[in-house]
Amino acid sequence: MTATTRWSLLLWVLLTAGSAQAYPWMIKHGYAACAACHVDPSGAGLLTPYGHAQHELLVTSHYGRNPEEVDPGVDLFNKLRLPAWLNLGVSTRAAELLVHTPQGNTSKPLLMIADLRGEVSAGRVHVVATLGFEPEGALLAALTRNQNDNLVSREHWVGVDFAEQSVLVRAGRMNVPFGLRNIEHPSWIRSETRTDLDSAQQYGLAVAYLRDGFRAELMGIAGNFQLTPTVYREQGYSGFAEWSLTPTFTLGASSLLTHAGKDLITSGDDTLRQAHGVFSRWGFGPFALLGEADALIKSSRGVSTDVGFAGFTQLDAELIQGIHLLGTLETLREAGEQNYGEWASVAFFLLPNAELRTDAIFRQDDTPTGFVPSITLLGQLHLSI
Amino acid sequence: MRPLIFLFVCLFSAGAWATAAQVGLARVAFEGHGPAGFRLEGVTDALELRDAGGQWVFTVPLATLKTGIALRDRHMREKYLQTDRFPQAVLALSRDAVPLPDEGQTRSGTAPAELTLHGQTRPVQVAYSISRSGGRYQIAATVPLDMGAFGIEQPSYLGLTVQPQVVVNATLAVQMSP
Repeated sequence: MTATTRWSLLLWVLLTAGSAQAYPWMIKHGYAACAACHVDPSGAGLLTPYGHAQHELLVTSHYGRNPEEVDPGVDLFNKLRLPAWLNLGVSTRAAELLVHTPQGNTSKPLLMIADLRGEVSAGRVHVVATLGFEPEGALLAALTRNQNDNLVSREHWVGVDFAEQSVLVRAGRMNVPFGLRNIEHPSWIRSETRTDLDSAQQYGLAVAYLRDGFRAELMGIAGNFQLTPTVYREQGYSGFAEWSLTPTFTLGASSLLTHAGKDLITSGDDTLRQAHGVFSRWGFGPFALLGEADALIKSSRGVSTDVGFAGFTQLDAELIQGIHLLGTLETLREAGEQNYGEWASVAFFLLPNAELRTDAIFRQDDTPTGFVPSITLLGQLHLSI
Repeated sequence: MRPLIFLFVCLFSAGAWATAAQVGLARVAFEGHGPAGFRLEGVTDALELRDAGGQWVFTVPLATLKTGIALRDRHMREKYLQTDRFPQAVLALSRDAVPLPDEGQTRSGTAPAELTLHGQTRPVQVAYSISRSGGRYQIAATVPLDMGAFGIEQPSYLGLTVQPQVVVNATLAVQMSP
């Protein structure tokens, strides 16, 4: 893959992808399971009322207030007093993107996400859907067929829970269960496995199992029905299992296998795509360490099988509540090329419904003419209810 | 006569337990569960052991329990445990019910005890494991209990309800003195 192609892909991912609330570093608060705070049993997206309260108690800056006196009712969501059967959320993320490469600079404002999320529950049955607007891109989640200015729906599914919510069976379009559910959608572990939270959702049937100390989800993938022509749709499975060895230390394993008549990126015929890997989360004091390593195997008719690798490790330091300093190292090997990336990020949760975040992404892309560097700066304001 | 009295006292003391004194740090933790894999742990290192005649009496000041979320700690103290009225949990265990291991050995079992919590006293079963090394006994104990049996309201917050069955785990080291 040429450097130009890779920069274009990175830009494409950043431009087309929205974002979500997904913070695997909550492991340091003993939250190994995600379903208490998120409607999605494997994490990310629409928060439960309990999740809204934890966001304000554990994520937002307190500015020196006595933490015992923090009232989650300050959260606008909890002031709305929605009926128990209805859960609504709004997420908007505006950003400024700067990309520097040897070939020049790119700068543009972005509306990364503008989504309304909702859940209607009737007993054990849950209906969840998101509806948003994308000025450009996100075509994999688009409901309309314009070049720009599309209505998008990243998730829409129906689920039924069993056994005191320890089992949730879902059908519809949902996030693909695989590895860390991290928010950095351009990270190679997400983009190369095509399991990011933004527009990589798939239609299918999934079963999630959640017990103390263990969580798992397996999804049968029927394809992305919002993608045409149909030959590009992938069918197969994806899943993970994660064990909590202590309340703040987990180990997990993931596996994905899909087949498409034609690959969306390479256009290879009869493409079989596999990803198999391990991941871990460890919280200690104000720190959280996340890691994921995935083998990437891709084969297409008439093309030799490529065995690659994607690795990711991230240290999150929250020395003052609400201010996160994040350092990330990542690597990607595919098609015989070895690429490296380093991220330096700051996230400031200044209010219960507002987050400022800045990422500086340094990447070394392996090309036939040698390593070519790129620098991406991304500043975001995320407002959510 | 005096040597006989001394011998009698020594024999009597050896036949029963010596006085137990807590050494080092202790840890007491309760573990609760909720729906969808939710887990809650409250921890304190404030455990006091008192050797009262034929009983070991363990006392935990409940206001020292920490769950990792300050507001949750406050709710636990004020709404559920009501520590202003019932500040302590007290477990009384007959010394005869717990045979001690020999040097270098470990002994495990269960023993009946009485737990006073939230102003109510109920019988409970204590599962224990005791290891002896260098005259020091390392004790690990587990007590399953039902909060409802002690008149404690089932904790619930913004749609998440904790099951009334919780498990209390304790570890401590004691030194015996004649």
